[in-house]
Amino acid sequence: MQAKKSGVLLLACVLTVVSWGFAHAADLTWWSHWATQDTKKVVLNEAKRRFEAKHPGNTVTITYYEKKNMWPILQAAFTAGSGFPDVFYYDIDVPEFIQTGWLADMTEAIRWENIEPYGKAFWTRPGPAGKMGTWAIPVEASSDEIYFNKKMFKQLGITVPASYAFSQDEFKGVVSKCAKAGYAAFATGAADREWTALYIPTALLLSKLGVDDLKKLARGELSWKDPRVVETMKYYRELIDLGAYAKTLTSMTLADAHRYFHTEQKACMFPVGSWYTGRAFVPPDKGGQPKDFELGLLNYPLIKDGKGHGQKFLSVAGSLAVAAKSPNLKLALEVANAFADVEVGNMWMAQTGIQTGIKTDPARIDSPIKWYFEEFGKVNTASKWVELTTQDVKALMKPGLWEVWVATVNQGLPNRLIGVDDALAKLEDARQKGK
Amino acid sequence: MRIGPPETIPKVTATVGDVRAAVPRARRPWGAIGLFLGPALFFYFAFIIYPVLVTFYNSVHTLRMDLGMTYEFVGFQHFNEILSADDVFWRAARNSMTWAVVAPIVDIPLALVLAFILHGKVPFARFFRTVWFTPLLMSYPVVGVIWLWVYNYDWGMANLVLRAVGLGEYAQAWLASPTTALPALILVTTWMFAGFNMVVMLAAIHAIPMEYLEAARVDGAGPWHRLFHIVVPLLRPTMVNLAILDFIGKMKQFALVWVMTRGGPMWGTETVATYVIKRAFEWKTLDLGYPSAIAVLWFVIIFGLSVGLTRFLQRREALEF
Repeated sequence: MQAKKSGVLLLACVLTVVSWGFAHAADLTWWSHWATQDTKKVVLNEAKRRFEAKHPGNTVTITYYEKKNMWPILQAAFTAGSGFPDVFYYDIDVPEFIQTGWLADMTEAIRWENIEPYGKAFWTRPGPAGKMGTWAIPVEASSDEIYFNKKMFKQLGITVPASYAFSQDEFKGVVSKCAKAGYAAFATGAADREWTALYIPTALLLSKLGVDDLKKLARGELSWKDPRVVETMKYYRELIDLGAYAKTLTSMTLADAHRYFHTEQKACMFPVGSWYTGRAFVPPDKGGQPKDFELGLLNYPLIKDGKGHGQKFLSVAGSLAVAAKSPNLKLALEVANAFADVEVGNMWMAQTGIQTGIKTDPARIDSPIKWYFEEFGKVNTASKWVELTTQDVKALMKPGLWEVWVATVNQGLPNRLIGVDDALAKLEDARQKGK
Repeated sequence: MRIGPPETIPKVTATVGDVRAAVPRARRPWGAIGLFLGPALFFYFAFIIYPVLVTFYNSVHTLRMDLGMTYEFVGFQHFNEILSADDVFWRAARNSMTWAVVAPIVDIPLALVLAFILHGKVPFARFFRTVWFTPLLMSYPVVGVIWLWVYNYDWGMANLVLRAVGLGEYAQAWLASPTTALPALILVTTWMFAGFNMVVMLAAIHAIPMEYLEAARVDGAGPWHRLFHIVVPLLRPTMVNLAILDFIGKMKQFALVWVMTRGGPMWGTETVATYVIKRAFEWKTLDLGYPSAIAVLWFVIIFGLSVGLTRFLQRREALEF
């Protein structure tokens, strides 16, 4: 009788535990950018696999969006208080999400010892009501690069300096040679991004002003009529007049620009984030660069009397955040935590060739694109990394100033619709309005 | 035998009220009314009335992110700023207005011509009717992508045709300049809606009584006289309605611009609708106050102009008939 009672009790316990397990099994939702970037998807799927293995019964479903379309949907869902995912792609495009309290504070939830300190510092900032927190895990980091077609440079007789940085006049010569040979100097498509034609002018301004003054300019603390700014922008206009951009600039998308550069080979250079590799280092039939394409990297041109020579943009890019009001908050934080692992960092580097905010062990990275890491290392030996990128300028600028910056410098100047003086006058006007 | 009104017939002196009182009042089936109207009313209030009220409410408030996401009443401050200091709004308003005025002027006569062609029983009339109507069946994003290809500088059909006929010097990046971008977009909507306008117009032509035309012919009126003095005046109500619909539609134009130019270059194709979306979702403030004020202002303008236009056109119509 006693044994029978014990058996019933045991069965009850087992049933309770099992039913508790079922009751708490959750299917977490994860919205991600990078729909077209298979190498990144491999890493995301690995994080998902690790989470699911560590938390049996719980699953994660990843849905891919173009981030441009994802932001308004997320905003609407958070505002409504329902329909938002547990975990989602996050970057500096939407800094306001932090202030609203929509993001969970990750300060205590992540193995930060496996994250690069600069990555953690980037996302540690004041949140709702000024409360400090760490709001995202920095999966991707990127620098602004100027890639070039080595064969084309050879064909045009262009020799790259040992520092990989042309002087102001030399760079003008490069642009001129490309244009005269019937190529665009830069493969840039501004049809679906508001910052693609901003890479070169922002790099030139960095070279001239240095990062501190550039940040002041972006924040509206420095006049757009500063003689250094005027001089730099006039130089930039000279490049445009030489034929720096293709006439297809406005109807070319970012994806088109990749093909324009490496597949159609109609441009000498491609100024773009170091996430270039995410799209380019996939098989050619999936939009990647041809096998025999010879890719090179440059440093930014050295503007005369510049304070920022050798400085180069590097910042945290695609990250992962967790919804503060997720019904599965603890588990969602664990999904993010799955990234905080050196092995995942290594995998990211090996697969994508893009920098990461996760710590890595270079000795253990086995990658088919090792040649790229070596090339990257060679070019950037003397780079003084500054925490900013062309895209991040948006986070520094007030929205009204950004709107004018995009209209005049991403659209007006490269299409020769506006003169430098007009553009700077509009920017100065926007700065003074302070909106 | 006396013939006259029978004295036995009582005088009818009962009032309407008496009659109503005498007839037992039928009970209204409130349950059925509620059942049938309820769902529609619920959705109408939830998705039309409530958002409109919230938009009006937002237009006089601002969201203070710095004060813990609280709404602050600001009265007509947003409206004042829009009207006095927002250059982009005025640029967008001018573009929207240009589109709304130009489109009906181009679309309606074109539709009329197409309708006459089909009415004239040209060969392959059915085929043409299908072909001309097909663009309307496509969504704006699809149409936008197709025309992005057409306008592509290198390999777009527009420039290929120009180059093929020896007019290569006119080939250009159609969406890269404010002077050509807006007309290029207007052409797209004309292409898209010509078929719809044509079908409506064709139906109206078929409804014209043949006797009028026969009588005119008998009186010696030639084809042009019949067209301009009989057909077109009889089509006037249809044309007025199409013009007003076209006007309102273009004043609200959003999707095509968003897909093709996002308002660029340099606000050259910015419409009020795209500007509202940018202010609402791309200005990093989450404050729907200012964009709501633009929306309210534009609603009032569209409403006023539509009423004015309708009355103006109807009055002219009344004078002519």
